[in-house]
Amino acid sequence: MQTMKARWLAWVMVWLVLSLSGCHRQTTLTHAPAIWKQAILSDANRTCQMEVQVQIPHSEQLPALLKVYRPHPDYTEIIEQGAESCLIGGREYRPATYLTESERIRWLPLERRCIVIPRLPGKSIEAYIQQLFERNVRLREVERAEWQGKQWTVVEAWVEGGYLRKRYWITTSSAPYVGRIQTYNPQGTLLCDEQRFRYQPLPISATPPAPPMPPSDWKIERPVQLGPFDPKLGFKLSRYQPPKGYERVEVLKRSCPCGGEHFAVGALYSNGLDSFTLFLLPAECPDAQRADRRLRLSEQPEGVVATIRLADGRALLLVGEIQPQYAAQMMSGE
Amino acid sequence: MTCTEIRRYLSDYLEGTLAPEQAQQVERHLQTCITCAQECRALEWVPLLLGQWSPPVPSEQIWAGIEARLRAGSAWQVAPTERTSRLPWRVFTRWLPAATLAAVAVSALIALFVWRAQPTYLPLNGSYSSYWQAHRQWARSGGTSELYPYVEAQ
Repeated sequence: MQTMKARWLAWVMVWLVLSLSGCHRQTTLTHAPAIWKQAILSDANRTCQMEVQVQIPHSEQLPALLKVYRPHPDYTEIIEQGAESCLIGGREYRPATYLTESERIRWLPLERRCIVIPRLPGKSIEAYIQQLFERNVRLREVERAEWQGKQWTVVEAWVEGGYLRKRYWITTSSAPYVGRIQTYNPQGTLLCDEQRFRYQPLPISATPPAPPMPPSDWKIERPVQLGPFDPKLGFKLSRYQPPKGYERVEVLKRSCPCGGEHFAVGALYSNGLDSFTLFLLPAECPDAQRADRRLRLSEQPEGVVATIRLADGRALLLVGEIQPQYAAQMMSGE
Repeated sequence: MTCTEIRRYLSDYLEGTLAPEQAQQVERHLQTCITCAQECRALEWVPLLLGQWSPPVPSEQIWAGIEARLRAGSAWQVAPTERTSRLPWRVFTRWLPAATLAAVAVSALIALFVWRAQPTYLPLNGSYSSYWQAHRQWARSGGTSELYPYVEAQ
């Protein structure tokens, strides 16, 4: 009788622990409509034109108004109206117009316009991140709301042990799409509110349009160079294990983001929703020389930046959406 | 022309008093130089504002209002001195050392607690915004849907 009681008690305890640890929530989430995931995953590829207002409430920056034109999933033209400065992909406060590895950018200070025409994205990386999203991301319905005269289901997405929480506003129509994305950090700060207006679906063009050639007066400000990749470097990085849920998506040897003439190795990690980059800076990089032998870390609303100098003079630099304690754990692999 | 030279001409350019050739040179420079373009935008309001500005003339009612407030202010200053004179200073001074000691002890406890709760890492110095941009640019090429990296917070 005593053992029977003990067994029952044990079952009750197990049930309680499981319920409280979130397994119950996971059960409900696995039944979340597949249509939400589909709407979120196809969001970056929908052929459409729309106007987007991006607000960053925690900063003093004014809302940005973007005109998005995407006649093919592999081609997007974005024009930022009323841009006070163009910080896209380059150094801040530098003159003006330049090309990068991934996109053509034209910044017209006097007209306050910034035009971005990205090139084809890395398809394999994109597919991998989508797989991670399918595997890791949890969804739950937060509320139903009326906005712009339409009914929306507000769906929250997050990854256990991750950093961001995103609220996707999805239409309740037969062909649902995302009309608004609100991004929060773990402290509940609204980092970004992206609202889409005048959304119009476009018929898919057979081939992506050829990006216009840059005018002759364009200045190449910072072309990203790719260096020969040494597998040993990948091996060197593999000793730094990312937190649970994150996986290494890509490793590249590329021109150092500090702007110097040297190369740096960078690895992109993602859990499907959050991403961070681990840079291995060479010893000649001024930021490597500035780094300390002890871990230095700063928490910003958008994520963390952490540095540590290695014994051989090189340095590790981690930037992105990861909880500080996990960043510290990962970088203490040295 | 260099940025310094351009800036010397900016006011004249905005007032439209530059020679056409010089104005064209300034315009060409502003198309490509973000710093001078920002300077120009900051200046472009000045002629407009100066044209609209006229010194305000105070009305009679304003003086009456100021006098009333001065009177009210002097009446208010009397009341606290009367109130403070009635304070039980002896009681207060008797307990002051003990209260100070207690406050110090509580502060020390709080400081100890906060110090123990500090993370083991040191705060980072300097700006790493270029690395943020590099990270975001890279993450964006992975096909995530958000557009917020396009407006990097300064």
